[in-house]
Amino acid sequence: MICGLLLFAGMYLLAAAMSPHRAVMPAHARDALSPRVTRRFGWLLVAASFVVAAGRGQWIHIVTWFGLAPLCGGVVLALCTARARKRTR
Amino acid sequence: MNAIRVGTRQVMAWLHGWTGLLLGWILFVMCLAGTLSVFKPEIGRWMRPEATASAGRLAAVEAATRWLSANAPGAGGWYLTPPDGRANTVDAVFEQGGAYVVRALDPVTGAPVARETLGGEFFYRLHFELELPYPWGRLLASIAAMVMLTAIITGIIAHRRIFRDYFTFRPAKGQRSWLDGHNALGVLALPFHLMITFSGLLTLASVNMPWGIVANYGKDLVASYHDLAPGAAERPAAGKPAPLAPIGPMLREAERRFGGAPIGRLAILNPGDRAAIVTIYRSDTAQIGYSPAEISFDGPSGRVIAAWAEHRPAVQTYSVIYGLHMGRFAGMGLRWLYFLGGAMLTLAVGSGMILWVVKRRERAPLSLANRIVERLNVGVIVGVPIGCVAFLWANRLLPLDLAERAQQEVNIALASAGVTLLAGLAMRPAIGWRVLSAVLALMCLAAPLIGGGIGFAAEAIRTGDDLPLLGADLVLIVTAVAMVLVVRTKPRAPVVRTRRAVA
Repeated sequence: MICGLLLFAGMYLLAAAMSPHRAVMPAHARDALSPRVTRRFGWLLVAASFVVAAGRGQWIHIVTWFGLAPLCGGVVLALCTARARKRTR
Repeated sequence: MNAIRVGTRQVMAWLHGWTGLLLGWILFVMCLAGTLSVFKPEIGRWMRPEATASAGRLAAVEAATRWLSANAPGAGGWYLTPPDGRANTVDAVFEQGGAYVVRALDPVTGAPVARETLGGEFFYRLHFELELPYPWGRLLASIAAMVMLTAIITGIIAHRRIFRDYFTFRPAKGQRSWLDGHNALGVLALPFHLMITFSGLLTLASVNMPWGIVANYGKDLVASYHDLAPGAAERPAAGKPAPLAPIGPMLREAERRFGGAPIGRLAILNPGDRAAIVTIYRSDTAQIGYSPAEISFDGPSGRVIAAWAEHRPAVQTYSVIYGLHMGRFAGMGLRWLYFLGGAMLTLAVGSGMILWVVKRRERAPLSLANRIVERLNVGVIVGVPIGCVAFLWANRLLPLDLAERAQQEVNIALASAGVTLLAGLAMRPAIGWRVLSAVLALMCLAAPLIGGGIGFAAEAIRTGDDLPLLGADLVLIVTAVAMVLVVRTKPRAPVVRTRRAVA
């Protein structure tokens, strides 16, 4: 659960660091964090999620981490797409 | 240097497109069937609603052997897979009337379940045998897997902004949307796609790379199998009858020797003969890298005659890769992630095939060959799921006492997919997509109702044991909703970009 949340947060920040998806972040957070800092935080959280998975000492958790990555990425993608559609309406 | 890089990308993009097109339809069938196979035992339970009894592994095997002793005494062998919490029947393969038959046996009475069906086994076999005779189905599947691996690797090289496209999807923009969708589906689960394709290729290694076996064993395949599984105890039938010793103590002894790991399957050779052998295999659900282990007992006396466990590094490496592909170690959550990965791969293949046509239509009017591709896309992408749902319909609608009922279900599934393919070829694609998607939506919506309806769902919620069955109904309803969205989508008029328009 913790691993999944960290992974999702990391993916979210990585998406927010990219210029087309910057708007997924709230305005005040956008002003406070530059894209470079956002990206670094994103990678840090993704790495932390992997460490949490690997640290549980069983290979099955690493396999699960690789399974969670597309799920989290898919949710972030859906958020970015929904946000973009809302903006164009 | 830059020109070389651009040239390489173009070549890779060309190869990616053509490899995908040539075997794309077969890959679509394989990916869809493989995705459904993740829930093979659960599909089996959905398709055998009469099998409501449950029993432990040992009791179920005892019941099955009792029934087989009375009803298939002269068989050359009985091969049993006991229930494991996912399946609630004993899967049995045994000789009857000179041919081997596959039956699901009730775990309490040991008798075959009334509704004769292949269940999830149909999708599992379709995944790598494609309903073709041995070895042609497996050979075609292994060639398709090789093509898939080529398409994935060339796709990665051809892709310029692989990480940026991770989060990009621009809907309602024609070719751009299809490209975004195809990229996102491919890139989001890229590690899964690489793992499942490579491991799948390896599971069929003896078909696609037989030269090692041929060089060492010639045509003596039995010798190669013996070296691969040297623990298998065998002996010819003595021709003198002798009853089988009680199987319960053998099962308990096997579990004790496996260190508490559950039993996986059993092979009982020459049952009812003085030379009977009971071989018990360790379950492969306890770990990713399945290390084969087996114990053989003398049938009439029940004493141990051979025990063997695999420790060779090369075989164990293979076992890890094989285990990752099969995913039998996965719990319910991870199994859904396998399903998600498989669904994304299926959609990536489907969207790639559609993209082939969309891309060409926006450049110039479609050639005859591409118009055929477009219609085949409609027939295959909607036809294969229609065949799968028709299989579920046939399971509920065919009479229980129909001769060769399990095969009739398969025939109906294949015929439905074939008819849909012909309909897709006959109709204009814009109409074909909407009509056939509507048919699929209706079939998906009706399947849970035919399957048992609200009463079935209420019973599943009440008992709590049958929640995976509700999952099957849920997947059908979600598919129906997705198809309704396809039907409601307004087809875009093809925009042909001439050179002047682009300029």
